[in-house]
Amino acid sequence: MKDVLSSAIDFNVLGQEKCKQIHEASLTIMDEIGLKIQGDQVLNLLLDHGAKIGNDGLTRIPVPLVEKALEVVPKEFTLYSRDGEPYVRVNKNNTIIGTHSDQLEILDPFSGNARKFLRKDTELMAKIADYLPNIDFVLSVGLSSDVSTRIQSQVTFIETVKSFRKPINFSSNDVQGLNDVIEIAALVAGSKKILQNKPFIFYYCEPIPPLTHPEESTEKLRISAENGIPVVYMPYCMLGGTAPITFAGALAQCNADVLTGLVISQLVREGAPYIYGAMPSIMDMRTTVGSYGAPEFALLVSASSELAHMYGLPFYGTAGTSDAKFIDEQSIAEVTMFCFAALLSKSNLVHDVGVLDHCINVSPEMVVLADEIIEMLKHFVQGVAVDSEELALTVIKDVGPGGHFLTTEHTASKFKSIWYPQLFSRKMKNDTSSEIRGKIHSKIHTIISNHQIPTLDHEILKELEKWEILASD
Amino acid sequence: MDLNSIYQCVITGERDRIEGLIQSALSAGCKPDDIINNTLIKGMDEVGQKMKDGDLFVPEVLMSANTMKTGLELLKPLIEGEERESVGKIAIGTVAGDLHDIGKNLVVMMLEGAGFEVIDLGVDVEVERFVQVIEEEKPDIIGLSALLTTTMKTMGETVQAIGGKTKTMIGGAPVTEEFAKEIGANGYAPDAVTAVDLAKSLIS
Repeated sequence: MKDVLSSAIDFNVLGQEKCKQIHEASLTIMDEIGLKIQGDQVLNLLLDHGAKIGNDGLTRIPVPLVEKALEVVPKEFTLYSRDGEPYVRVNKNNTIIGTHSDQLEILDPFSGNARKFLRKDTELMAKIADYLPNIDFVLSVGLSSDVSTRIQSQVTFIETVKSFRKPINFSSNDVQGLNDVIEIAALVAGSKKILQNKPFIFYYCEPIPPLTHPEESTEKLRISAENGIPVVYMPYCMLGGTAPITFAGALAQCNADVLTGLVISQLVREGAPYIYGAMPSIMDMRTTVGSYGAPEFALLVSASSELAHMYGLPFYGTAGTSDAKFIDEQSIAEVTMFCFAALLSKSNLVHDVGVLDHCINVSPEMVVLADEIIEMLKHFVQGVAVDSEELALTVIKDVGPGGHFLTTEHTASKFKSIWYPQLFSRKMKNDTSSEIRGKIHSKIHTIISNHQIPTLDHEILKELEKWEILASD
Repeated sequence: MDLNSIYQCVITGERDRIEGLIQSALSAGCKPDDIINNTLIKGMDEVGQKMKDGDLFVPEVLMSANTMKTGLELLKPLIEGEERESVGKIAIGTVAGDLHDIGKNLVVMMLEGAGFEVIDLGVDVEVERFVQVIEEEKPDIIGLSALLTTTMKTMGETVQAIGGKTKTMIGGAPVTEEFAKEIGANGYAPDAVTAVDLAKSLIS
């Protein structure tokens, strides 16, 4: 099992009282205002259990349904590695962080330009993520520009699983894509049964804020729950656009959408693993961009983490993103702010590291840099331990006023717990120009040439190939 | 009567005041199409420019657009029958398979604010529906929106089905200029303000 990070710093955005108020507001939205929920199977399930459809076509979900779902949803589960080893306990305390297998564009580390993402780029993303100690999962989406949209999600997943051993988060272009990836993952795991018992995958899907859950979303929730595949349900909303401009209102609406997904998943199958996701961001009213770097975004994602934890649920957070297109002053500031917020707010599965240009490109270089930034921040959120050993009064007495600590056994045994950066510089005499980009490049080259991912079993590879040939027809 | 006060009213987006100001102008003998062209449309041109310059924000621009629309609705019946050239007619929708509409809605409001007649077809609009609208309504332009990469494909199919019967413009987060060229659309706009400029240039 991975030795995971868990912040020791007390950090609240909301506090209990505000969390409760937002929760109450969400219940009012669900029970009184109503939501647009589509998909006959799920809708009938809701109606059978006490939800009502009004003449306005909106579904209202009574409070006891939400309370029941919160009671029966698991608060903890294990994600496994590709090889079936336990990788991490997912709960409200542990934090693991992920990047992407693919994106619309890649900020090419060799040319420095943003260009269309190609199928072959997934191997690079996956290998880097497999190598880096602070990256624990990837989100496999299905955006390779050189693959047909019909099988994009499936192909990206195949390319990812070939070069990545840690847990894989995935989304799919459609319901078929979800079913296919479950089949493909079952092939890798050995069987669907093994996959269900030891999931190395977890799914990602979303409603369309405000308060709209189309058939495609509810079906994706249903299929995930039925198959026992842990699922993240995450509204991405923009304040002033698809959510109220006020923080509390946006959080309440977002929370209502997540709780609606929760009720659906638990009605489909009680005890189905469900992960609370939320991305309330701002709509930049000068450009209409949904921001990936705004301080309000980091703040509200942190607040949402607290809401999830009030329910005892693991939270799917966001970090390491930026509105800037390149690695520059802006993107590094935004990435760092968001990573800090994610760690402090104890987000549990933190996605999107290295995603730039408000979610248009992914930068392998930024992922490598973010790994260093996360390591740095980990040494902040470790907090301060206080006991007699740490207080070190004996050592202070032995050294005495005017002495030094350089040669004490106490220093010798503990100095390595202080962080030593790999990429950042602390030379007594710094070079005349910055070396860091060069270090990032050479690290990427080293990963490409030296980091070997054990190939999948020959039989499995043959099956995957067969699957793709069939699907391409 | 000072037409400038109507022009200013559009720029400041004071919808409540526009009716009174227009009534006074009409009483003073101003011609309706003069008011439309020299205050409402000119006011929105200025608003568009101010937004591009970063002086106005979207909610302010939409208040101006609403003000303009209110004024236009008031004046339109008065010039019925007369030869008035409309700025243009656009049918717009989110393509089949895609249910996202915040961007499309924004473009609709901006176009209306600029004086276009807009037919909003909503979301998940099938290819045939676009073709049907061209026959029934004879719009100058068809606008297509998509947020998903999967529905960008549908966008291409839609443009193909339209096949040059009318001009097409496209937009949406993953959509690019290059993609517009690839599928043979007549234009691409990255945001709602640019979409208005593009629509104007496609018509002129």
